[in-house]
Amino acid sequence: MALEETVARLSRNEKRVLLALKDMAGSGNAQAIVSAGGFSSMVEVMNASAWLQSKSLVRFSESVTVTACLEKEGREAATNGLAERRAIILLDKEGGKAAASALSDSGALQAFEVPIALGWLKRKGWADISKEGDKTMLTLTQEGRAALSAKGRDEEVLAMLHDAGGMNSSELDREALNLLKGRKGIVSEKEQVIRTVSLTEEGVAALEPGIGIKEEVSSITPELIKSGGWRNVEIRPYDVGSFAPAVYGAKPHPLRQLIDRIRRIFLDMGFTEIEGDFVESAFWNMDALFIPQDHPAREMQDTFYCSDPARAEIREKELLDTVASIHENGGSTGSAGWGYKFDRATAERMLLRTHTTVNTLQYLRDHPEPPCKVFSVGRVFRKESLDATHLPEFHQVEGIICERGANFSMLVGIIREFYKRMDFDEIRFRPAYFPYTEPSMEVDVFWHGRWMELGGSGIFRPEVTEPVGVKEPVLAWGLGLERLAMMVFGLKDIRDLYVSDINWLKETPLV
Amino acid sequence: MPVISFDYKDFSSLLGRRVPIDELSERLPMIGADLDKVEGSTITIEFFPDRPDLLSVEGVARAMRAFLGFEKGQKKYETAQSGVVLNVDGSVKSVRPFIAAAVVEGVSMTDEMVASIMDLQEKLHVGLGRKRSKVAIGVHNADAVKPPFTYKAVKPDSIRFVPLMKDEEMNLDEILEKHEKGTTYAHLLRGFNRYPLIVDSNGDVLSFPPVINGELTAVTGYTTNFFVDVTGTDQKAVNQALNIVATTLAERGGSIKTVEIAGPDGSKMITPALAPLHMDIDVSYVNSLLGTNMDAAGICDCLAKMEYNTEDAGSGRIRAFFPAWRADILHKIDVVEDIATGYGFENFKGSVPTALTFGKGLESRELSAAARAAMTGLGFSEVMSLTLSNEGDQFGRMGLEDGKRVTLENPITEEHTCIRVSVLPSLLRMLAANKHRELPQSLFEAGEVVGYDEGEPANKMRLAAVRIASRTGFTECKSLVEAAVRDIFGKPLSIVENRHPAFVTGRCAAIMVDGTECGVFGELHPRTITNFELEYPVIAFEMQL
Repeated sequence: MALEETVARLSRNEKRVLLALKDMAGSGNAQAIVSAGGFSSMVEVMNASAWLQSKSLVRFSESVTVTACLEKEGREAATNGLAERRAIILLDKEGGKAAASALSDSGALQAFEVPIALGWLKRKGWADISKEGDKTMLTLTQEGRAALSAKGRDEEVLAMLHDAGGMNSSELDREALNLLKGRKGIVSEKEQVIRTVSLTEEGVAALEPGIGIKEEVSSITPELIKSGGWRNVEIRPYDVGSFAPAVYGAKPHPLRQLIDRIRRIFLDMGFTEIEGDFVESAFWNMDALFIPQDHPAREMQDTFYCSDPARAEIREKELLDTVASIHENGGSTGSAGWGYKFDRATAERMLLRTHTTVNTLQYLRDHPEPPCKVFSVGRVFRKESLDATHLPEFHQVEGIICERGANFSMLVGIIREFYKRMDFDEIRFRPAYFPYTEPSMEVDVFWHGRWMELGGSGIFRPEVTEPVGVKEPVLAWGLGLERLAMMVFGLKDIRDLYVSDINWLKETPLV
Repeated sequence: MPVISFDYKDFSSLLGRRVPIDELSERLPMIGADLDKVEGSTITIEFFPDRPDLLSVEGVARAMRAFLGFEKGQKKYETAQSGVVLNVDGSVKSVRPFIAAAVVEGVSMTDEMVASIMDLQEKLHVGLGRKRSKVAIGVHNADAVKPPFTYKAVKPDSIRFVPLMKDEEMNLDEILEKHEKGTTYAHLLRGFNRYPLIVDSNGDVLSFPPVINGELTAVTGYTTNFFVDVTGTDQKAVNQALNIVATTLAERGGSIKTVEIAGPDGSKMITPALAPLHMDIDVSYVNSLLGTNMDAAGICDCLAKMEYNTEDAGSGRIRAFFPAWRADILHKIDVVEDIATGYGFENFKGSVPTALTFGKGLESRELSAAARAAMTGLGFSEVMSLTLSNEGDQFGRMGLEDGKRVTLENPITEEHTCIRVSVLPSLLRMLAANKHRELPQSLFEAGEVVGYDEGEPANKMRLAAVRIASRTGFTECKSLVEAAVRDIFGKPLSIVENRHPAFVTGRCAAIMVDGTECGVFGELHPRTITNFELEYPVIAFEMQL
């Protein structure tokens, strides 16, 4: 980053530190910067200095200093005088001579201070000590008298330390300090590491053009905006790369997003949407779609039958007769039929629809005249156990086209268009089998390097369309939505769609 | 769907030439199959249930010889009379009335081929045979028995023989009770007092259809002359099954000999009947349905690839002769599909529908889209749950007596015994599944339930929402419901105090829109919360859309 830009992005405190250093001839310790820069705390200075160091505008250097401080007895001595000082004052008062016991008897010294005073009187030569009988007598000397009007060097140091509260030892009379250190509890020395902040060459260069300081704010407040005060402040820049907590929006279920997309495609292509009920008769779900009554898919292990209501009343009596005869011998459709006796009780059983085609066929019965293009997205039910790849209930997408002259090639064309709009550009068709379409066609899509079976399609058999009065070919195709969802969302377990982990729902992006 | 596996080398020898395995993998699905996998020289493929003639490697090779153009048209199997007569006794009429039979001589068998024939037989039993109820097949060593044969129904304890896979004689009831095939298929004979049986002129048992053959006629890798019986309840299916098995054996070098089936009424039928059947197809019908522009010769060429023979039937019609082993040709539309397959699905380039239509979404779906937009705007995440539910969730845990609902006769689990009448229990289940996740959680579902309209089950679209949080309550819920109703219906909400056992009394209200009650909301009762194994306060609503 260019120096100019670095300077422009300095925080207010960083600038204040630089300016303080300039005033201090380029370097100083944190404590000094606090006072020189008018900071309110050492932390502000240290933080700002650390940022300045990271920008190479200052450097830190360290030096060790020894500080001398008074201890408890030292502070008392500074106020009251050292023990020998108090002793000569008393001697002077007593006419120059007194018994040692008088020192404590008079209250000038405490008992424990008496031997200390005797030792220092002797050492400093301020009194002679002699025995008279069993008494110890003290007599003030010449030096003692002189001392009454002048402080000793040690007492001066004591007083300086008391006034300053602590001083760099190197600034003190070393000999006198040692005298004080030789006494108990008067003075101690401590080593202290002093960090000095100094401007670097870049720091000096940064200061050259002059640094202006505006008041800095961290938040933009309504007052700041309304008052116009924002013109005179700097808004503190942030490190835009630093951590921000994650938030998630409420949104549609991923499967719903797919459904919406598919609905949109159908609507764009001119299809009308239809729906129907889950509970249907076997007649509409199976028989009307020419699924033979002994077809394996109709067995209890493949289809959910209802116990309540168990039976449907087939109101379309005429249609029922027609469908029955088509199953038995083809009726008037030109088909051979299935060649068995149609069982009406089987047709009356209630079930959960196994495909939405049942609703498509009911729609065709109500709207047999071409053209028609309809679609549906709805739930269907198959008796599957619930596991990673199976659900007993899933969505089927289905579209049909009925128009004069509709043909197989048209079916290929419309499916190609549909899948292209689903972003599957590469698809292929191959023959398949479904009981109610002929020809029948499987649709494979090319996905992540391999062919995936994705949908079925075909033209409704005449045995299916003729009874409901449809005379033109009906082109139909469908696909399973959950299978597509597993592909699109990369799911390993299909159950995740219906027993959803809230975090998965939060984290899955909108398609 | 039936799956068959075969060896590439064996297939190639039946095909008569080697087609690279990659090319084969590309081409096989184009006659109507799902290629499952190719592992080494083993090809596994699923065929569709409408083509039982493709359930053996012999059948697939025959179809591919035509499809790939090596031997177009229909394979002709020469048949001669075997002289064998099979007498049908009137006693079988009620239990298993139909039978067809064939003799196939001079097959050079191997153990692998025995396994392959057994496999074909089993697959025919399952599909075409509807688990042997419609069709059951017996393949026998013809040299072990002496014709004429008799098909009759006998009292279960009137005869003893050694069934396949056993070494002791058993009567028919004992077989149904003790033999593994007996117990599997006993239900097919339940209610009958006489069981079907095929015996030879000495009274030795060939088969006890549809259950088990006799050990006497067991087929081995050394068997060269075969007797095939097919019994059932549908003459057409019986004949098709026989045609498939007999021609499959003939593909292995056997020659087919016919059997005379002498009916109890003096009728005579010669089986197998391998003469092709036919349908007349209009060239214009084919082109208009497929969207193609083929002439008669082009259509005949497509049919030849699908094992058809063809003739000109005059006035723009083709007479299409389809093989007697095809079981799926019911209507001329089925012939059209074969033409499309012969033409090649990959060759349809596609055209565009021409009729103008205007699209329109369902109003009910548009309304639920508005509901979803409103709810996500209010910070609720959409979930989707199964509509299959159970009485415990729908009623018991909600403090309700069991109400009207659609129940299943054959549920998969106790969790899925009925269709839901309410969405709320599904949402509470969803909360229970997410107990380990951070609170608060706000979920909704716009989904179907099944209620009743004039006594008939009918789908209803509902909107339900729940919010679980360490602090939440009625006021928050009321604000929420008011916002939702305003956004979805554009109408003000009126509220009437309500009682619902799932909610706290006095903190539950009915949602009224235009003077009609359409839902309920409030604070869930701690009893309901604990019934769903939850531990924090929950507010909830559900309304009709």
